[in-house]
Amino acid sequence: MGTETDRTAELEARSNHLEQSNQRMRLLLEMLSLVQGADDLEATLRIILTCVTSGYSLGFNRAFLFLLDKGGKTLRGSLAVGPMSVEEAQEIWKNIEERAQGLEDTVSASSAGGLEGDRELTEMVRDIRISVGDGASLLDTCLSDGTPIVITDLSAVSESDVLRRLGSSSFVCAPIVTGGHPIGVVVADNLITGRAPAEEQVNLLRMLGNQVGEIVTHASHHDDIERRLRELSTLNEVCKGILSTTDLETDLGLIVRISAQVLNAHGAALRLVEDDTGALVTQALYGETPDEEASGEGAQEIAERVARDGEPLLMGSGSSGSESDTGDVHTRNLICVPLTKAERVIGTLTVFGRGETDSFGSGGFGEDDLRFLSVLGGQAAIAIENAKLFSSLRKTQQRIRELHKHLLRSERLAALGELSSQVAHEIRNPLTAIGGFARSIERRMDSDDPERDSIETIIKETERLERILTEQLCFAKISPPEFNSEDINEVIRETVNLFTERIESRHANLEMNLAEAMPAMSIDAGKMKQVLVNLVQNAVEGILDGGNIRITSNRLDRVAEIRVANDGPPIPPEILDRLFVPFATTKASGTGLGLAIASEIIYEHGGTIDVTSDAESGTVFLISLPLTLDGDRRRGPIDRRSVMNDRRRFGRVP
Amino acid sequence: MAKVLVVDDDASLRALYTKELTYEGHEVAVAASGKEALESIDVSRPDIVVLDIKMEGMDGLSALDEIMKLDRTIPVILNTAYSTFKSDFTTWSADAYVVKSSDLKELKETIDQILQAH
Repeated sequence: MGTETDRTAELEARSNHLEQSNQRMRLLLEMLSLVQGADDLEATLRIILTCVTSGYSLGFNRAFLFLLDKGGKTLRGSLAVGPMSVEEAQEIWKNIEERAQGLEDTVSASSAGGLEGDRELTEMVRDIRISVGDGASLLDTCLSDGTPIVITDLSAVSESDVLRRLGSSSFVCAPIVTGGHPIGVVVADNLITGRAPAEEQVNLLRMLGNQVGEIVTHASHHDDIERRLRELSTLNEVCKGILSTTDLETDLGLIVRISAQVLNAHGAALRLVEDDTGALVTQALYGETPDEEASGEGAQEIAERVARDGEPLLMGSGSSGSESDTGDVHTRNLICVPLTKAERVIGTLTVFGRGETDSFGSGGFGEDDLRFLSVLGGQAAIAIENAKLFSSLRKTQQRIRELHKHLLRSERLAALGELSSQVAHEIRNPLTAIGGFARSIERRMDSDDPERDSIETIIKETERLERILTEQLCFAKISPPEFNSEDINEVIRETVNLFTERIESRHANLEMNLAEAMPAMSIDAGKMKQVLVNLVQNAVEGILDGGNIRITSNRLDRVAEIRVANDGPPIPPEILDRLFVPFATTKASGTGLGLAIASEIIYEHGGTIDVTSDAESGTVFLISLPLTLDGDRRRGPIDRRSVMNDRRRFGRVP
Repeated sequence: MAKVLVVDDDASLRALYTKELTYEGHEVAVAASGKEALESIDVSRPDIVVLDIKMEGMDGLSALDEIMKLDRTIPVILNTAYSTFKSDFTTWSADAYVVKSSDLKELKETIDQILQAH
């Protein structure tokens, strides 16, 4: 009977065991069907690991997943599931057992909950990298043998094996296989309950490893394709963005920002080859970390190497031996691509320091990132060249507009000159006669003659008319300038001296601030004085009694700036616009030619004259003159005849 | 004291110059055109000629040419309403260039200086 009872008990035990196995198989199938519905690699892996640790299924405490990278040279820790401590384990299991009715519920509970332990374990496991083929770790052996390894005694594990970092003394490693090739390893243990892995568990883990390989591979491909698509659509957006702006600075800013953001990097730097010097100069930076710190080798040297070779460069973990394994891989990773337009390198684009990745598993840049940046670099080069072209086009347009404006004014002056010379003759002859006879009469008058005032008025008014005529004729044909090496400050001082009395009579306060290191400039001193006389005269007439006049000269890099400013009432905008236009005078006594002539003279000197006027800063005339006299600066033709004029004045020319 | 020939087609100016240059002590002759001027030079050989450039008929510059052909030693002062002729090379053969002004000081001084130099 005893035997019968034993047999019954044994049968019952077997039946129980079969039932358990059966249930576990069902759960495995359930898991497989759940995995089919997962939408990305991480979700897939999470379901698998949850299944490994579920009491309904394999029933391990913790599970870790390592995947082979694309090159097949490194196993990277990818994901982990499990509690960090016994307390947490009990809490979690209690909760899950209470609520969960099956594997599906467990999976949704563990992934929705975002368990603290899972996160911490995953962080730890992602720091683990194992190089393949050197047998230094059991994982490597497991991968290459293609069979599970069960460890129940830690002495079987090498002291240097990274598996020791998992902290358990007994565990199972099982390869994940697809089509006969291993693609990763799953490690499971019972750290919390301390139970050695049961044979049943090991068998199931092996089965699981064989079943999920293909699914993982698919999910991984799916992820790749998803990412590629995302990158493509980002690239499309980026290109649309950078090609639509034509402002170079905006463009460069956009390129570095987008490069860094899309690649999830700490920062990016864009360097351009300068047209004149050929030097590679940083033009735009994005991110907190200056890229000089991003690598052991100076980022500038790397960029120069890339510009010279015209080949993109990927530096970081997993690439060539240009770095050691010490230090933080996050800050040591760097991609640098050349920006090439029509086979000419116009600059480089560097992206450095990958931040916390949301993409799976990798903390550094990969070949995909390099490819992506290369394509972006190609588009960026086109955008930059476009912006440069636009910028030079804009400059040319502006120059043409200026020339056009000048031409209009010149035409007006020429027409005016034509008229002047016709009228001048008709007016000047009678004027000369009137004034001349008046002087003749005045000379013979007694000093107390009652008509003396009248005759003096005639003389004075004739003189005024003559002066206006002279000014007009001056304009009718402005003689070409005579450039000599002169001290502009001296010309300013001479001019101001002419106004000493008038400035005093208006109780004006004159402030002069002339640059000390002003080099000798090639100017026509006489004409420049004519300009300054005009500006100072305007300033004196523009102020209220007791106002301020400020005259300054400044030496800049390539130009000398002269400012004549006063704090009188501002010039109304509509007049300001036409200030340099002939006859646009606002003064009752002026000819309306002074500033027009001044502007013409400054133009001949290759300089510019501008005016601003408002209530706050008063009226400021600004003259900019080039410090060097280049060949093309002399816009007016040099007439050698004018040089001879004075010599001819007295005495016969041979 | 010199013989000055004033050539100008404007009667008022001829009158003014005659009065003023006479006052300065010169002997003044006048001509209203280039043609008259050449006749006068031929007859009376002035010490100096004050020549207007823009005149009816033969203009001053043609007249200057003719005067030069006639007698290269007579100094000529070009006197005109235009400063523009200053840079016209045809005026180079003149000895001086004075722009017309009711103040005859410059003209008078120029006459004196040229006469002294001769």
